[in-house]
Amino acid sequence: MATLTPTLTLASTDASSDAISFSTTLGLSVTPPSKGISRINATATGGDNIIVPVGSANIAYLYVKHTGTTDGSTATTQLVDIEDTDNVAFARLGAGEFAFLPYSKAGGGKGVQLQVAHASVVQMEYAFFSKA
Amino acid sequence: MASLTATLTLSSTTVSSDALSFSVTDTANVVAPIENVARIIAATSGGDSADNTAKIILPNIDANRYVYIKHLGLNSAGGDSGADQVKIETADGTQIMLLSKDEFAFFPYYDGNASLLQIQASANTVQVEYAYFTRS
Repeated sequence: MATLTPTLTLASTDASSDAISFSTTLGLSVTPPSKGISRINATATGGDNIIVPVGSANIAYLYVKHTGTTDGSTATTQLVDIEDTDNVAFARLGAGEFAFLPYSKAGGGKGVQLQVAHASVVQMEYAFFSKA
Repeated sequence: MASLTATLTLSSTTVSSDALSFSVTDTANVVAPIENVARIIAATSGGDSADNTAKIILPNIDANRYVYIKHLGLNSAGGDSGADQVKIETADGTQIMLLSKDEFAFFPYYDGNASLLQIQASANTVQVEYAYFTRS
């Protein structure tokens, strides 16, 4: 069994009067199927941009990042939704933003797809790892 | 306007033949409402959700919010929470994520409309840490 170690750090000196600065980390046991760091040119049709296939993982540790480009070099600020494969969005990424979460839709059997909020193309980075 | 800097590092020497080791950082402009790091008890009843089973951690507004949630591995009495998990749900009780002991999530929550986020234990009680920041 493999181990994935995510570490999240949040910091802010002006979000409140008390500065924020902390990290959290742990070792996650993961198993196939998984997909290492990959890129996709997401479009406005979510079904064309499935990043976690239907039924592939009961719990998928999912990383998604908006590269801020259409093709790796041309800048874009188009927003991109992270959706289940029933087209229900649960997160929206702007340029440069990322998400890391243990995706597990109630009832199982749902994958994850990306959908650009307007007719455009955005290059997205992603990876997923199945919880062991 | 305030800023929030989030950094995620993923590493593994065993998840594939090619070792995984990278970091991403994003600095975002944030505005009120902001809820700094808070702790709450997730249970299966006695909540403030529509069916009283869950605790609402994000108010029902039309905005994109950066959300941090962590399962602390403790029950309400401070003991080990064991295998009890934390369900992250939308307003209608639909589970979208599931946190096990010590796991965390960080994501910009938005479903395109005014929406809230609530949490519920899979059984018994679980201490949960969370924070949110509204995108400007």
